[in-house]
Amino acid sequence: MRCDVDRPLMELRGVSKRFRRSGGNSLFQSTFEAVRDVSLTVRRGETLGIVGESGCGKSTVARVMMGIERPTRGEVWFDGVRIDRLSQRALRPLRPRFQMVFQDSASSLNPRKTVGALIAAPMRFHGVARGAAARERTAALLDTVGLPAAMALRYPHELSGGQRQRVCIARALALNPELLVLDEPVSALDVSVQAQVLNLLRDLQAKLDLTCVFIGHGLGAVRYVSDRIAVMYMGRVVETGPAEALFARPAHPYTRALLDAAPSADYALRDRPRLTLAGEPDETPPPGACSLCRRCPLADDACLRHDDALRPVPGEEGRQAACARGMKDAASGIE
Amino acid sequence: MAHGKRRGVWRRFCRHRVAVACLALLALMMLLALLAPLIAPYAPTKPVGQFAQPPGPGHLLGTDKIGRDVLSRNLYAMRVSLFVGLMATLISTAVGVLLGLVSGWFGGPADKAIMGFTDMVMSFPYILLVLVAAAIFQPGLKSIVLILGFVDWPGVARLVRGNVLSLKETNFAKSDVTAGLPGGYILFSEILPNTIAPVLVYATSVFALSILDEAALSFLGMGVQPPTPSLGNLLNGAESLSVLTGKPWLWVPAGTTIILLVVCINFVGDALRDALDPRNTE
Repeated sequence: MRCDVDRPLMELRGVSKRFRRSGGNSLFQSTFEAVRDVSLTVRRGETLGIVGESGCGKSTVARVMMGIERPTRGEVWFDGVRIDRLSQRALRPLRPRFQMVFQDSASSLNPRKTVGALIAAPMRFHGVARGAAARERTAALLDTVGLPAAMALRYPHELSGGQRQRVCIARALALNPELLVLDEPVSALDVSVQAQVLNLLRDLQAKLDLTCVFIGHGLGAVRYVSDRIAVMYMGRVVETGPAEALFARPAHPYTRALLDAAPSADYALRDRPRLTLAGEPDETPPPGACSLCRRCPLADDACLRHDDALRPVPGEEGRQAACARGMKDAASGIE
Repeated sequence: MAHGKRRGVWRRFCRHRVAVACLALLALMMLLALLAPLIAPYAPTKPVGQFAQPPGPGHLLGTDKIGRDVLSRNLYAMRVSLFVGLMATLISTAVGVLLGLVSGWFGGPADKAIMGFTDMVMSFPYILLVLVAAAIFQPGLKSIVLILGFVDWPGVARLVRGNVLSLKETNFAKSDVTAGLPGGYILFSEILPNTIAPVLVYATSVFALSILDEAALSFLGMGVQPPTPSLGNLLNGAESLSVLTGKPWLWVPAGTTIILLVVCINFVGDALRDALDPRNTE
């Protein structure tokens, strides 16, 4: 199965996820769609970065990929197997092949267990290693993520945030996964520690031939580790494409706004023309219109008639954007 | 490491001076109760002196209306009351933890059924329920343990259910799911240990409550039956006004013992709550 290179390792097809809003009575309970009609493919060996502001649904995408959230509509395929309707029990044999690292390392490790026990548990249950062999492998894994083997005896609260996130990565790697989904793995860390963890991730990608989905809101971090990027806004993918091209020539106003919003230490870039969106994310955009049309400074009447389906970006290979207007004649709208 | 962690708990517990004193007092009372057959000067159920003799040499706490030694009766009563409290607490905690785990973990219809039943038990007038149960089953030591055990569990069940519900959604439970660990492992090895501390704290208050309930029930004559002494039926003597005002040695010792037991247990429980919280580091 591993040799079939053409088949995407992870694929979302038209996935939507609707949540019930908390509160209210059960008769008139309102729902909101955290993820709307998202299709993504992750090819073997690449790293897909997903960026977007808080609440855009990127974490839900990760949880749907990992089978801890069932999509309301759409399909999730892992290496040619449809997994979104499988029970947890049926999914278990596949589990070792795709693993996840959560955002908040402090809460994703049981406070009452030692690091060693935490890393060894998945190995034990999947028959990778047990007893002395498991201890040996734990030490090796700790070494892989740059921690001393003695760390195995510590409790999570005795470690720093960066060390904890390394432990989470080691635990995810314990089962030799092919796919690693990282949900904002560095957002909770100091900037200097972020860099260390990002470097570690890049080393691991190269060394272990990992396929990764890297979710983040820091553009720098996502750009640093990703081959391809998907930009999400209000539960939709608004632009996808190779990282370099996408960052160099954003084809969607939202991507441009994200890039322009990032502060820059470079004086030459500081006073560049920027695209800023008006107002707050728009929960109820006009039906049939682009969901950004009320906020976008470039929007004109045509934007009210075009929905935000992904369209190929003219003249750019492998890129899609949800803007019908395109950024070609964008200069006028940018201050 | 586990040893070091336990020492940390003890150190945090020791910061509550009052609780340490209470623990010592509680230990002393338990020891006295345990050793009652050895240290009681007289048999608790046999008349050994004059009727209603005031405290004095020979009978340190006097004798009751039919000439039994009050000190000996109190020692044995403490034994009975502690036993009832402990057993009732064990039963209700076990039942509560089990139902709470099932309810919180499986959710859905099981949760609805269990929580509905819990609310029903909770909404019954408590003392009436106990009295009716005591009237239906033969009053006595065994039935009072069972009765108290089966009325005190709803609190534990709700506590455990709430804990399971919130722990189930934590990242560490989710990360166990993504690591492909089986549900039984997640429930018993990850979630249950993180619920033990609050349950232990709650159990101390159930323990204190059970002792009080036993006393109330025995006071009303539905609990431990005479001649077996319990702290409740010793107080029974105080039902008559002449005893209440004129013969305080018949009820003051038992009353004081109950107060001391309940206060000590509650203080220990409070300190335990602080000591068992792993975030509570100095």
